[in-house]
Amino acid sequence: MKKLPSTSLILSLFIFTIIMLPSFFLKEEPALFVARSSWSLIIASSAYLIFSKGEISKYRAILFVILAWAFLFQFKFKAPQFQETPYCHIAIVGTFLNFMHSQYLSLVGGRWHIFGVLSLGFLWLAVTLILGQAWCSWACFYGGFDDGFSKIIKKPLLKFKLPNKLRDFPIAFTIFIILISFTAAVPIFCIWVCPLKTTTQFFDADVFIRYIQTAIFLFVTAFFLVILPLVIKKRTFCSFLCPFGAWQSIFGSVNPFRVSIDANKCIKCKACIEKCPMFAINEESLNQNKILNYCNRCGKCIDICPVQAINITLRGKNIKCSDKVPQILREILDARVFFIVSCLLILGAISNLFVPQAMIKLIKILFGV
Amino acid sequence: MANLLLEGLALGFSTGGYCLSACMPFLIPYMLVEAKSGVFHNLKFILEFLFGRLMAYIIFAFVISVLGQNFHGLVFSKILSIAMIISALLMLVYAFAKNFPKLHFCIKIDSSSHLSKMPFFLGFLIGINICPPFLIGMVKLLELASVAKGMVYFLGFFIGTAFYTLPLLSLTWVVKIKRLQNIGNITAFIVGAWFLMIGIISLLR
Repeated sequence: MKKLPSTSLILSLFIFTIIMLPSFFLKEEPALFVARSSWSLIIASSAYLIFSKGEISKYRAILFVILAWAFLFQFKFKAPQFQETPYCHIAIVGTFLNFMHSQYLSLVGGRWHIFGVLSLGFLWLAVTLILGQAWCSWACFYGGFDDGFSKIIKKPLLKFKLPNKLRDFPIAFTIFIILISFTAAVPIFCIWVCPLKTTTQFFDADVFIRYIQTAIFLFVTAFFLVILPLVIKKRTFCSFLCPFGAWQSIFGSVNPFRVSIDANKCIKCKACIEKCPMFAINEESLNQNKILNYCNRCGKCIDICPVQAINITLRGKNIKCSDKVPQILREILDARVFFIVSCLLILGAISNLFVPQAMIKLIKILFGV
Repeated sequence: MANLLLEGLALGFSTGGYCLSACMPFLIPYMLVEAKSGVFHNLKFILEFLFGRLMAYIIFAFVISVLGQNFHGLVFSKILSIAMIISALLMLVYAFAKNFPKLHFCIKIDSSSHLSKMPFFLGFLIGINICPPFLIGMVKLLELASVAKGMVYFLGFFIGTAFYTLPLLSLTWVVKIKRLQNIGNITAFIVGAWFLMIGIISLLR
């Protein structure tokens, strides 16, 4: 659903202004200001293309992949934002009681803004209310890795049909992670599964256990983040192993945005089943004109549907305007527009924390400036 | 004796939360699959599980009290690892039988009465291998070195910790959701695989 160039321009300018707004109040180095402006401009340009061309997934993926790699780049090079978080920016300490204590100290010490579960908890609440499951396709720090690899090859080398019984694997895996973490009083996912730990410090002192953990980290990284996404063109880590994705598939339902199938338009060509990177549509759900809760709102199905039967709605409904309303306003008062603007604003807010710095660092490395 | 019972009870009450967290990985997936909408039906599972735990405590209280200072820590740690591996295998076989009910092997297991005794066996095995408060109680047993005293002490401990498993009955109100049974099955499988790995690691170390 393409928008008029003027509508697209208004929306992208609005996004650019909001993302850049904090920079006008911060006393930043000129280089950082330029980098932030450039990145905001890239986001605004993508917004323009999304609205004017009517394609969501392609331009979203570009921003999303940059976000993920910039995060990894900054995290691994120990940027100032991450210097106090040696393991990762979420689970700062290795044991539950220490973790609770550190969160308490950060709160009473007025340091709650430093990355930790308290601050990320508020962030989660905000994104759940604003984006719901769309976090996983628009603003997640890690989602861009398997999303990126799944886009490298044009056609899947191997067609994989997920048995219906296994679609709830991520929820089962999350229940397992929660239960075992309580039993062991340590963050099990971080210690045993998270690919981000592949090159960081270990919690366990036992060398034998470290070997096993390294093997698991490498397996998860190679198999779920790189090989499977390349071969079957699906986001396998996000689909099966990410506990937050599973969590969000439950709690994200409070968000009003939905990807809905118009029963009157759908011709059951099953293109959406094949292309959905999250296994969020299967034959059973398509027959009921439903999309599963695992949908990350990446927009792929919307883009490829030959009859435009799939669209973003507000709980299955869209805003209706009378013909008397000016066309630009009618185009803006659309669930799809509200959704994309919200997503890009959150993406901009999150990515501005590290993408401009990563850009500067990369330029310094490449050109020796 | 009354003092010992109270001491065991106090240990049970103070560490029961931890005890529950040790039982949950096994009990919750099982309950998700097997629990029904009737409270008494589910209470039966929990009681069987607790009975298994009680048996484990009594046997261990007896063995350790008899051994007293002759007790060898290394042998005991190997027994714990083996118990963990057996409970993991039990969980795997259970999950396999439930996930693939049409396979010959699974039909055989599912139709046998062994699966109905699962809560008892789980309670027994978990009672002696994973629960950290149990290890605290064991130190006291070594100090007491008396069969009767040891059993009284562990009876108190059992009663104290048993209360913490009762909140699991609240699952009664969610098990009506069919999808949760499938989730419980998969969770049981992952839990089994996890504890099998941990058990083998601890056995090899």
